[in-house]
Amino acid sequence: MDFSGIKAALSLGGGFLRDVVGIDFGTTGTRAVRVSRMGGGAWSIVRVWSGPATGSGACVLPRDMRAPAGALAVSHPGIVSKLLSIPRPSNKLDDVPIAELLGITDPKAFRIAIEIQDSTAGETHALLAALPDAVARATLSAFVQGFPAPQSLEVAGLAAINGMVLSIPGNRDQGVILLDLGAETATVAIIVARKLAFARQFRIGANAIMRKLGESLGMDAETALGAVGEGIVDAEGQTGAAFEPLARQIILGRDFVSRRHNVRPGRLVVSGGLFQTPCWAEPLAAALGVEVTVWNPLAVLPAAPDAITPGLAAQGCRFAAAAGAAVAALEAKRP
Amino acid sequence: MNLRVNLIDEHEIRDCSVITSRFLIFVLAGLVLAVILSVLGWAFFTSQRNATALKEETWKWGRIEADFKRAQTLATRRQAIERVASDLDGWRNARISWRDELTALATAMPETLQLTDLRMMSEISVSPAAAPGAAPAKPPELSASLRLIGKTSSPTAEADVARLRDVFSAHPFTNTVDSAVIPQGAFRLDPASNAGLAGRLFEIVCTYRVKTLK
Repeated sequence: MDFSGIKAALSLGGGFLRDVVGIDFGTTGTRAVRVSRMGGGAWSIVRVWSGPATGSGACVLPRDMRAPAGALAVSHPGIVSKLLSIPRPSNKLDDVPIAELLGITDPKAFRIAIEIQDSTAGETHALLAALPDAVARATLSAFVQGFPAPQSLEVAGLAAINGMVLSIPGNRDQGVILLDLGAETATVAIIVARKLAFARQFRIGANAIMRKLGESLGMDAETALGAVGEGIVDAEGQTGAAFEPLARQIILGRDFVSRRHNVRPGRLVVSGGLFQTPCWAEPLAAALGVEVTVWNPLAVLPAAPDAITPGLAAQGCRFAAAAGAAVAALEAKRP
Repeated sequence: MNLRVNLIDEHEIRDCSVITSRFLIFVLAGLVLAVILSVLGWAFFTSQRNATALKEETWKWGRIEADFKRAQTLATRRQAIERVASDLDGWRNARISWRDELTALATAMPETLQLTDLRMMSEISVSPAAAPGAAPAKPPELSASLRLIGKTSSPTAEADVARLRDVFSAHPFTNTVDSAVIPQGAFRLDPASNAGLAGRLFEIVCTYRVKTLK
């Protein structure tokens, strides 16, 4: 039975969202950011919450975090996301072996989504993401009733990068490299002339980098994180080496974009829990030879008074995926 | 440029309105149910109230039924009695007081005349009803007459008889008598052998005014 007419007449919902909670089920914890659309269409953070890592979808949100709509973001080593250039127009993609192009051997075990960036008669640029279906089901199983009602399920890395793009319009206009460094994966996107020129997810996460740094310093990863982050140990060389695999992948991507578009992005915007200490961005800046900006959604997005506690404000970079998912959901269904 | 790759299936997206379709269905179903229950409740309550009222009235009727029937009987009897009383009143009003009439006649009677027969007649006439079972068009009427027969041997017999006739045209008979006449041939010779030459027989008929019995 369709009540959309009655609901629209009563202004109940009206097909657009005003209040969304973005939830990131990360490896190191669950983060949620509730964002509301204020008068005039601007966003505002209403509440922020952080909980322990409980696995996909197994968290219980505090009452004040239960917005009507939910935008979910998940991280998983099995996730694949790529920007592909397919030599077909967008209306003839049915017989394209998408799973094969993504390197997925068991397509039935994955759910795949595609977002077409641009299309011509001979070529389509599409951003694709593949997520193990079991992870998606487990995530959504906690939201089968009550609030928040799920509206989207995104890859955490892409959600964080989308948040960077949506919250800083300048990122769209200038050539920029966007990086979300998660615990297990890193997502890199390069934007040139208001177009997504490169996007890929790598299985190089902050944990792997810290393990490598710890090994080179002869200490465990956690100790290395504290010692180097707080400047107790001068390990510039070891840090650069630890970040080298990731930096190399980004350089390869940047070179690809430079060759293809004849533009060399000169800025790097990073997010992720590791960059809460800005010194961790320096090895990347040095390797890439670019200016680095750390994207902290809790500092960038306007927030209601007392919405963010000082303790959570200090961990703002960890909320990139949650904030990005919430903002993207609001933008997708704006009045 | 849109970097939002949504992996949720269409059927997994739930309505996030505060008032969902399901909620509306529940509310509508609840309203319909409430209306039905209200109607049924109202009908039940009304029937119970009516049943209670009926029991109460039946109980009251049981208590007053005998009195009511007795009152009905008494009312019927009272109506009959009132009807009889009304008839009697009518009769009393219409009747002729023969005592007064005869007393007045005795006073006014000439001494030369001897009454041999005096007949008082009265008759009630009832006009026929317009239709069977209907009330008469006019109330019953009482008509009365007085017939005097006598004899005399007076030399002024004729004048005396005429004087007696005229008595009925004077007070107090003017109140009751309509006319008094000596029928044709009623003043005649007395055929009796002992009557003598002056002997005469006479007869006067007085007609009284018709009175309505009401």
